Amino acid sequence: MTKKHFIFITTAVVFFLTLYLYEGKKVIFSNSANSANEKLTQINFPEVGGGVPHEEFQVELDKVEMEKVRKINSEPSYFKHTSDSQIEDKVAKLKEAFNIQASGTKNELGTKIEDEKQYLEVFNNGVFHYHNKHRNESISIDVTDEKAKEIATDFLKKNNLLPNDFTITSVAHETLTNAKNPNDKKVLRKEVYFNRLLNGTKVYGISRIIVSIGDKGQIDTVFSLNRPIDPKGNPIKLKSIDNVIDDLKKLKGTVNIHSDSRKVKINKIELSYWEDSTPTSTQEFIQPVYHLKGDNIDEKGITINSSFEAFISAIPDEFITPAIVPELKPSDKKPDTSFEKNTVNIPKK
Amino acid sequence: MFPKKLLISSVLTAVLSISSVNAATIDLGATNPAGYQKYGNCAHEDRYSGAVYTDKFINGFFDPVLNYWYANKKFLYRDNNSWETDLLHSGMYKIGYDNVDSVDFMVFTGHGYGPGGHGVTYNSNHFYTMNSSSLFHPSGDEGEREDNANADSNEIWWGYEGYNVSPKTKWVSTYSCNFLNDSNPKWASIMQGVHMVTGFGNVMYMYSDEGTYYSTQLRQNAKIKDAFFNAARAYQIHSADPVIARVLAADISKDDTIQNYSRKPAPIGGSDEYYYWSLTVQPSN
Repeated sequence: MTKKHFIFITTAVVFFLTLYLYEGKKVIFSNSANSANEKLTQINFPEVGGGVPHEEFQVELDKVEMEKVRKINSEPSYFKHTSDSQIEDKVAKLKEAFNIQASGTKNELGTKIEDEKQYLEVFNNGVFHYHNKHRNESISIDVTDEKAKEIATDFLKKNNLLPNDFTITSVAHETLTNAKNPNDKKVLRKEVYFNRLLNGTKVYGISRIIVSIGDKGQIDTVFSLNRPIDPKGNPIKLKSIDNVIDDLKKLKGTVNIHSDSRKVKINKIELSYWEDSTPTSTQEFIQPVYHLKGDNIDEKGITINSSFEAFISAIPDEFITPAIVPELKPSDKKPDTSFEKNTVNIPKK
Repeated sequence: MFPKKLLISSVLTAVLSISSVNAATIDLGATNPAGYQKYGNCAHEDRYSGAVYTDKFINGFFDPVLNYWYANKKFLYRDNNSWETDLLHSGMYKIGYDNVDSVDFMVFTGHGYGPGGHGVTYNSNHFYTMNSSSLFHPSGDEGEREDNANADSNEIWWGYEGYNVSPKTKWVSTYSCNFLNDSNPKWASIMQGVHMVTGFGNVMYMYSDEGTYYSTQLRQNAKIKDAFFNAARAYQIHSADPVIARVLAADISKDDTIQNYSRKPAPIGGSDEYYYWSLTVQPSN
């Protein structure tokens, strides 16, 4: 063996060994749940109130979107919530921000601090709610949407209550309408919404700050429905698109579909995040989900005038701890097993 | 001076005692047809999250630590025992069991229709049963709009004094789509003496913990309207379209709490003014 041969063979061995180890690491890594080696709690997806198809429906996926999904980084991150401070410290800070002097009382959901004019609820998981009890219920608000945004932003910033990853997304209204004369309608409050963007990706579920501005520009409500996270995140393997379609057909997720739909034509898929920072939430993670949008097609092949939308977990089932399903209270019984209602002489409205 | 003060305070006390009431104990009732597809033939998904909601709502009134005493669960009808007649006037429709008329606070969790859905004419709270534990509505549009499967706004007379019945009903909370959709002129005619009805004006979402938060606030004597809206702010909307949470009430009852509430209002169209409050809950777009 010449010296040249020796160098060539050694280089080749080192190259292939490195490649083998690299690929092997990838295989080993992608077969584990995630770098933190922990299982995630199943997302408690809310049920949509509308109808669903009674029969199995077909799913057609736009080819361009399909390719896009296949190219998604196979190891996006999930994020773990962290505690920003002790609840007692948080209560003290919020009492100062909202100028409430009263002492708090504990209940099963958290701590409530209340005086004659207002109350503050700091829930066990750290999210909070402020409520002005002396709110207007009859006068039209004289504050523009832009002014409402400015007031809300200033208030949150001044009190260090606006996390960096939250931005204004919309302004909603609370209105009062005369039932006899629906044209007699007033806007009572303007509600400024702040939502989270995580590394540029939208966060769905309940992840928001709502600030209601009252008729004189005062703060009537603050709902801070979010929790801090460890920003570095943990990479995790994604569910295959075939499994996503299977889950969709089984309605495993939040699925907004028309009951007459026989085929769902999906023309947009995005990887998003799902946070559950409701007051009672014990969910520890912000998790990736697939956000699907498209059209409902009926049995005649006609597009129904009602769009399709769904959120499906992007994490394979083997890395998820199933949610605990509580046992339901039994139904009370009625004296008879059927009843025929009277339909005679029912007055007309 | 003292007798004059005494006179004024006596008059004020008398006036207040006429216009508002302090409750001792309130009776709760709930009806929850959860198994729309598990048992029935319905076009709607099962509503077991709504079933858990109902349990959590009722539990919220009976906190074991603080031992609140002023609520009593009168009935909870679920699945095959949950019928349209649970929500209808017991005198008018000759109903012989405890229903909405027998309780102060009634809750419906299930599905609902706005006018036009599957040919349903009025806003309705929808059941898969047909006033029977074993007879369920057939599948298809005709089944969905079956009269006995829909307690609709044209046949609901909540709070109505008549037919030898004086209903206890003061508040009704509906957790279903579209029951308070205001596009049908008869939608508000449900107010026949009931103080307040809460619900949704379009598609809503069922998240069972909303029941815990709503009822905990009620138990803490929050205004019912505020408690309902706060629960909606905290739990509704997980999609691209906004949710309209709505409260329909007599003006005199808008500040009701479960412990302190107005006198019984006159039926809508009578001497009391009625309003509705609409709160738009925004999506994460």
